[in-house]
Amino acid sequence: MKAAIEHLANRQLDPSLSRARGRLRFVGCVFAVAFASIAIRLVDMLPEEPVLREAPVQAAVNPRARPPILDRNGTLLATDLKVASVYADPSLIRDLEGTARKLSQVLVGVEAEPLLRRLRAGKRFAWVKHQITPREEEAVLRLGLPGVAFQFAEHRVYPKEATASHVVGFVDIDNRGLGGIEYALDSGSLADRDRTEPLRLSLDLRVQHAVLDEMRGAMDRFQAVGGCGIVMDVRTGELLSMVSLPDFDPNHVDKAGSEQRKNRCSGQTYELGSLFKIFSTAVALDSGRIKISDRFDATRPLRIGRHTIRDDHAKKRWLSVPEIFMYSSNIGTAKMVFDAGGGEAMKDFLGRLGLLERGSLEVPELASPQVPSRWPEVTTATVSFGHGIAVTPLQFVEAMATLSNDGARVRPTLLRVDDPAAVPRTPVVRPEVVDDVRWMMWLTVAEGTGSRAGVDGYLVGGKTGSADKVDYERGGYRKNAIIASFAGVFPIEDPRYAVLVMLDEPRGDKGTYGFRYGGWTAAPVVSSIIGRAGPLLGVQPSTREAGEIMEARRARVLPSAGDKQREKAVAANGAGR
Amino acid sequence: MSARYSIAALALAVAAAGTVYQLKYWVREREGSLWRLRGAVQEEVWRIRTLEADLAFLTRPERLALQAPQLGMVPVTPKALARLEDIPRVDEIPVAGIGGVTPVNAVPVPRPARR
Repeated sequence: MKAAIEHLANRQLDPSLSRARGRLRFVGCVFAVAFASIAIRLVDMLPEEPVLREAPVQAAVNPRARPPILDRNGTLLATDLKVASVYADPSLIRDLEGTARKLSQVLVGVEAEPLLRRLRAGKRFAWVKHQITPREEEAVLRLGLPGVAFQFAEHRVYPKEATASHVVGFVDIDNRGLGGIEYALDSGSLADRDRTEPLRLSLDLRVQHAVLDEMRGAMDRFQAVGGCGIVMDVRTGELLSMVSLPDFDPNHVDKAGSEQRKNRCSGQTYELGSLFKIFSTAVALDSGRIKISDRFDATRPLRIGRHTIRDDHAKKRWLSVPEIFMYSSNIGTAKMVFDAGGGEAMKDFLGRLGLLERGSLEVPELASPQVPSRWPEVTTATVSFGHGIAVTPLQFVEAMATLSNDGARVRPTLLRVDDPAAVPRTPVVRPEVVDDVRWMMWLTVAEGTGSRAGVDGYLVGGKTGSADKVDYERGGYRKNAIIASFAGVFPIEDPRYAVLVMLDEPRGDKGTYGFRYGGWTAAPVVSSIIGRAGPLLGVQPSTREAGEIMEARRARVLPSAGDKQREKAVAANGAGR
Repeated sequence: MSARYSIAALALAVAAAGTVYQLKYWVREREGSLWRLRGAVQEEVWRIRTLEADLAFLTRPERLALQAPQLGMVPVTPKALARLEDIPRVDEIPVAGIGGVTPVNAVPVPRPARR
């Protein structure tokens, strides 16, 4: 046996058999390499596990679906609900007349005759009613009509109704955004964001309601044709409230007229009158040519060519810069701006505040300001007290926030800011100027034209504004129609929020002795808004020390009674500025 | 030897085919189950959304304001806010009748029982 095995081992193989085996081994190796590489490639192509899990879900995302919209505290402002719509296939219905009659009895707003005409149109598909209620759905099911069926689709609902209508916006019947944030989600600045994630706005629904409530009260009381209320965080640019009146219910946008849909806060421009004196005073101080202690002659009207500029609250004496501001002197303001560098200085300063260009915000309703093409002396004078230039209330608040925020410009936003430190800030005004203007705003509320904006608990600063309304049809200004406004900042010793209230064509009543100026109509609204919103936002009441610092400065800068006597004597001699 | 290998390989192939067949049906069944679950989850999501919308509608500020008198709610005012450091410590509270700031070991005293 052993010998046989040795014989077999030592036996020389047949050469042809040996070659065939060699070829077989070669072919085997080639196949092994080929299969191995295919196997490696297959393993390489395997997606990661999470992608495998997510893939079917992503495929299920509906392009019509819209993200829920929340306020800054997570309160729901808009969401999609699955709602049934009823349709019919007339070819499957034997009794068209009876079907139309029965459906009209259970579906609100559906009449038998028009429905019957649609069913007899000869098509195989006819809408019966869009977006029915669950009760109507049940009633149609109970009828058990052949050829009548439901189609389910997303339907946008706004549970807070009109509360934030101009901010949130609205959609059409196909769930496409047509206004406000809804439009921005489809075609605007928010179109690229993940549509499955809820969108958190900067709005605070509690503040929004307080502003809306106070604005509606003022609209009713003063019979105004429109109004705008804005609350803005001056440090981050977040808009906590933006109310435009009259408003509309976005659930029934088809019932809203064009006046209701108009966004008066960002989509309309107005001449805001004396509110602009905040900027004119800042221009003067920022130029370095005027000191806060300087005085100007406001004893008689200012004549420029054939134009005469007068004061509404004429003091008929020399006024210091703070007095010009607190008594809202047109004459003094115009003279200050002339001395500070005139039209060029004014134009440059307003440009730095962003008042000469279209503002920025997430919603599409943004109007461009109307600014003078030339700046002759008379235009410079009228612009200094807010006539001859029209900006949106939102632009005004943004500029005012700059003058309350150490002179750094912050862009307004309707989206919640999670990291305030990351907000871009562009310094445009010297902090010393801001400090002076802030103090003068406090003075205006403490004893000037804005005294009705005072709030128990907070030190408030602000400025009144009353401007004749432009007559766009006939040109010039309308008689007996004004834009009354008040812009406030609180707490003035360490500003956190800017508040603007504007009333379009208010009328005075017994309580205001017939006056309709901003100090009588808009300032009390700002006072009420601050009194309600301040505690909700956790703003601590102003301290006694803060008030004492303001008072001490008044004693230092403002002339005493003795000074006023001396001032009269100086004015009589024609000396001084 | 070769025949044994061939039979073993054939048996292995048949077993593998059977396993793949079973696996395929099992996966199909799991997939069906997954889609049913996904549909059920989606339905729940819609229900939750409806409830959230309902809650948001019922808690509209104007509705709560109407109910405030019944619920004994009043608007918060600036005077209702205070810093923790503004609240006096127990041993700093002046005691009536003794005069001045007198340190006391204040302990809650039970309200006298009604007769």
